[in-house]
Amino acid sequence: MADLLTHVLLAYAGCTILNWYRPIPNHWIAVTMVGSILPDLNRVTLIVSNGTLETLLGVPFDLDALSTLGGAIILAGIGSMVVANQHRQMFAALFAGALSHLFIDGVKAYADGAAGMWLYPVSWARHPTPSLYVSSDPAVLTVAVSITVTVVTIDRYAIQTT
Amino acid sequence: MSRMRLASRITITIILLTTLGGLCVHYDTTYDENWPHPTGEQLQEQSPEPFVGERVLLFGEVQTVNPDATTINITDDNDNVAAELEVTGIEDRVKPGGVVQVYGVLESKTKLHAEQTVVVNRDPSATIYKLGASVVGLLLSVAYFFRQWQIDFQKLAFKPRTTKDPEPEEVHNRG
Repeated sequence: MADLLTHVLLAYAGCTILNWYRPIPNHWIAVTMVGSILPDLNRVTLIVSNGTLETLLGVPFDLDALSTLGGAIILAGIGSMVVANQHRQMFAALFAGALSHLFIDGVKAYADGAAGMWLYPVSWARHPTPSLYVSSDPAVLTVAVSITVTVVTIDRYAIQTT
Repeated sequence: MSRMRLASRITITIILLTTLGGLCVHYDTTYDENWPHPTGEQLQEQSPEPFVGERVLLFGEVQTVNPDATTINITDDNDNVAAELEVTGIEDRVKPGGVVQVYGVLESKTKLHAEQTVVVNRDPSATIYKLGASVVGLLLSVAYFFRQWQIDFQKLAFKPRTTKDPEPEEVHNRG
């Protein structure tokens, strides 16, 4: 995973660019940013390990399933229930954020050149990764901040919206 | 899907949470047979012996760094040490407490020659940096969410701050 600030900033930048073509209200941009953190809910294991959860539940259990396509769809579905209406928009915004997270994670470095199995449960395939980055490299966040600042600057000063 | 009753929302949430639990169970049950390399669990249960001679990808925490070899620990789901390996061929700078990916042939139960290496965290400070940046990202997204949304206590649901209407009219109100 890239750090969450990178994911959140790039989700914001992506929404801002889409907004140039089709207006997106700010509250849906906020939801997309929240969506971009959903796949990292597996980091709950920093507090409670998968082993502890397995002991408590009495079954094999791995929260890394949240950091996959299937996990993103179900988490976005759960998130879409926190509103009384507009469930479809809520789902779409959360899922778009989560998908951006999974795409960005899909190009991170693996020593054997193949990405993680994030396409689960559709497929266990590991597609080739260009190994663009490791998450702990500050250059990743620097690039994310630069992209966001550039996009926001263009949005403020060069884009005419009605 | 338009307006939904609270009871329906709660029912769907319970169904989806159960499905999510099922997904986590299925993922763990089938992961080892689909991941093409030894997992921490397999190394714990079988020791590295059955994998000697294979080209493997392993994630490990750096224990010691010497000019000729680096020692790494591979852990299982309970964070117990499943294997301790002496790895040669790591050319990148790492420190004890760092995390590396090593890809290469397992030469014996305790030795691996890395053909490719990825330094995930150079040292413990890299882990702290990543966590710190993540906490900032989490707070930023949650703060922006609550700036745009509020809780409707009557309906027990979130609603946008900008509109009372279920179909918001506002399009471009950048604050």
